[in-house]
Amino acid sequence: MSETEKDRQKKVLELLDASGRRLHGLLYRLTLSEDMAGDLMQELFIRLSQSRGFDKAQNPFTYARRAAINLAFEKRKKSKVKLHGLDEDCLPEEQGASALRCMVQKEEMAQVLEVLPRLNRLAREVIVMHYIEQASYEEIGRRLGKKPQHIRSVSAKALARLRKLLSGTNHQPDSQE
Amino acid sequence: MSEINENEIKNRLKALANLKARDEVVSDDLKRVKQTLTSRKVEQETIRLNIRRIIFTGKTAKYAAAAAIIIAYSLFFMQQEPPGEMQPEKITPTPRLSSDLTTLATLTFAYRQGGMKMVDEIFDQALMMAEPLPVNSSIHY
Repeated sequence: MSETEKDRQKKVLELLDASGRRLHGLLYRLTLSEDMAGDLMQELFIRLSQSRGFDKAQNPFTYARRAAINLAFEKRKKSKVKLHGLDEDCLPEEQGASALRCMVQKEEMAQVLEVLPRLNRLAREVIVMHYIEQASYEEIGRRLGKKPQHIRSVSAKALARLRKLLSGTNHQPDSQE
Repeated sequence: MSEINENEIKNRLKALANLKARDEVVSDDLKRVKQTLTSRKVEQETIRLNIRRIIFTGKTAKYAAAAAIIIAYSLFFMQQEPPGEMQPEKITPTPRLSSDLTTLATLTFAYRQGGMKMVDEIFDQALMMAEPLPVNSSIHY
């Protein structure tokens, strides 16, 4: 194994220790499936350990997060991830809500995730980082090398686009609320 | 086709942000990823070692190595000797006795090589080789 590969392996393992949980969380939120999040974690880290781009990345976590977002949407697009019904976390005892309400909520989240890949890459990243990872516009701007005002504008346009897309594809169940 | 407002989208995204996988599942997944990465590391090293072993233990490789050694030796010896025809070593017979120089064959050869001058030289050499007569020797008739 060459020195570069050894360094990369070390960097990947360090990233796994430092940000593994965060990346897993992101993958889980983007797939709505623990199994799929686990599989994608494997795939993500294997890809990172083979990626030369990762060597050059100034911020390994930012690089990995971007890779995770792309991987999740790519997988979603290929396998057409759908809800499989009630999961363990939808049991009324744990959530304090009806099983039906939980299922509807998951369906709604899935709808948003289904249309997210139709946004351009920057808009998709901004939405994921701001709303799902709850990062501020300043932080996103810093990470993406853009001004916060620009990010705010991208986010607003992306929301408007999402609204249009969801209005066209929205099939809400009759029993909502 | 129902309309949806931006607040509703924000609420859905917020709900997504609040989702959390079970701790034990996350821990297991992270452990699995770590195992995969470390085993891949070992696997890659093993593959490299196997390739090295194949290279050094294969029959063809052995023949190739033998051929390389032979070529190297040949090149080494060729460098020691200058190229071109080998010069035959000059054999210069050293006559032991003066009588050897004055045989008919020697004199004939000398005459052919350098005429009478050479014959004279041969005789001079023969005289130089001949020891002086002992003082107490005498000739009786």
